[in-house]
This record gives sequence, C-alpha cells and structure tokens, in this order.
Amino acid sequence: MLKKMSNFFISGFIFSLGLNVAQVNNPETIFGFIKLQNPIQMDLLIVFGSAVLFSFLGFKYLTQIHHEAKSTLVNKKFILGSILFGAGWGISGLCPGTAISAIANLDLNLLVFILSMMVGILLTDYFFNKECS
Amino acid sequence: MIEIQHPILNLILGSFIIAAGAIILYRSQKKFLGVSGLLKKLHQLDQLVFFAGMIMASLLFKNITGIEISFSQETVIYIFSGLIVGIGAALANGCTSGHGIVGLGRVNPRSFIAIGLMFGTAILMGVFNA
Repeated sequence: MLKKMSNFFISGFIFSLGLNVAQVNNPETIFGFIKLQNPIQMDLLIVFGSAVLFSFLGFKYLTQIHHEAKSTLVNKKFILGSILFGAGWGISGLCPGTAISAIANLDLNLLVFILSMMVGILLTDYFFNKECS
Repeated sequence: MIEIQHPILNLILGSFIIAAGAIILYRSQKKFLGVSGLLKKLHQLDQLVFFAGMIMASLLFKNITGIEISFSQETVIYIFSGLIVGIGAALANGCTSGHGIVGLGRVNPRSFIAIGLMFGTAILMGVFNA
C-alpha cells in the first residue's frame, strides 16, 4: 500500500517537474510554436519529440510491454474529441498535465481552466460512461 | 526561420524527466500515465497521490527558480477552452500525455491519429489567433 502510494507520488512529481524544467507549462512556449510566426519557436516540438523518443526507448528497453493490448478503436467520437482537445489547447496554450504542473502560480485564470476541464472530463465520462484506456 | 527560446539542455533534460515519470509509473504499477484519465478517478487514493506529487513539484520548482507564468487572456477564454479540452480528452480517451508521451512512445497506432489531429487543430487555432 505504502509502496504503491509512493510510486504514484514519485511518478506524478517527476512528470510535473519535467514539464516545469522544459517550460512547456508556459502557454507562451505553446503559442511560440503553433502561431507559426517568423521565427517559429521550436521549443515545444523539441520537448515533445525528445520526450516521445525517451518514452519509446524506455518502454522498449526498460519494460516488458509488447504483450500489452492496444486499443485500436478510432470512431467519430475519437476524432471529434481529438479535434476539440486540439482547439482548446490551441486557444489557451494549456493541456491537462501542463495546467496542473503550473498550479503553484495560483493564477485565477489557470484555476478556472482546471476546474472547467474537470467539469468537461467528468460530464463527458458520465454521459458516455466508457472505460478509460 | 526557426529559433529556440530556452537553453536546449533544459528542453532535453525536461523531456527526459517527463518520459521518466511515465516509465516509472508503468514499471512500478503497470499503469499508463495519462493525466486526463487519472483525473477521472480522483476519488481513488492512488490517483489523488499522483496529483499531490504533481502539485508538490510545481510548488518546489516555482519556489526554487522563481519563474512566474502568466495566464493573461480573458477569463471566459479559460472557461471555454478548459471545457473543450476536458470534453475532448474524455471523448478521445487521452490527452497529450496519454496519447502523446505514452501512446506514441509505445507505438499505439491510434495515438498517432489523435496527436496529429490535436497538433493540427492547435496550429489552426494558433495561426488564426496570431
């Protein structure tokens, strides 16, 4: 029990620390890339790309993951969800992980975003009642 | 032209730490790190502790570095975008962490579709608002 709790705590701590060190929890880092204004700021792409690469290497060499089932379902709901998510991310410069990792700023707008996001997640989950992947 | 705002070492180190968080959770708990998925089950103690860890890192980082982040758009923008980020993540069964860092990392085909759409739409919004 205590071991399990500390695993979850450490994982959340490390993940959030990484988002802070890479500064991707600053909306300006997101806007600097997605606005595609000259010069395009590549920070987001570098962080995302290398995090995926490290994750790929980690999963490949540090875990036994190849037996894990992968959900392959791609339906209208999945497509619509991804588009809605991208729109909200593009407007605010915030996604769930980066928003929470910036919470120490105690900004009212940030707290409003997190609360609103929770409402969106819980309402959708309630009405569609799906298992999560 | 392209440029980088922050030192490249910070970006690479940060991304390494981000991935490490996901690998640690999978190795120790056989659980895929996805923030929007974990938020669904905040009534469970392990999920709650995960977010306590996230908040602790946020507090620690801000107190040590003094780096401030501002969220300076109209409040209504944050209400609206938070709502569609939440709805979208729940409909797509994952967000930039679950489909991005973890999904792409374990080469899950549908995560490529999700991330392509998420980045594509975000760029459209960015260019539109630029």
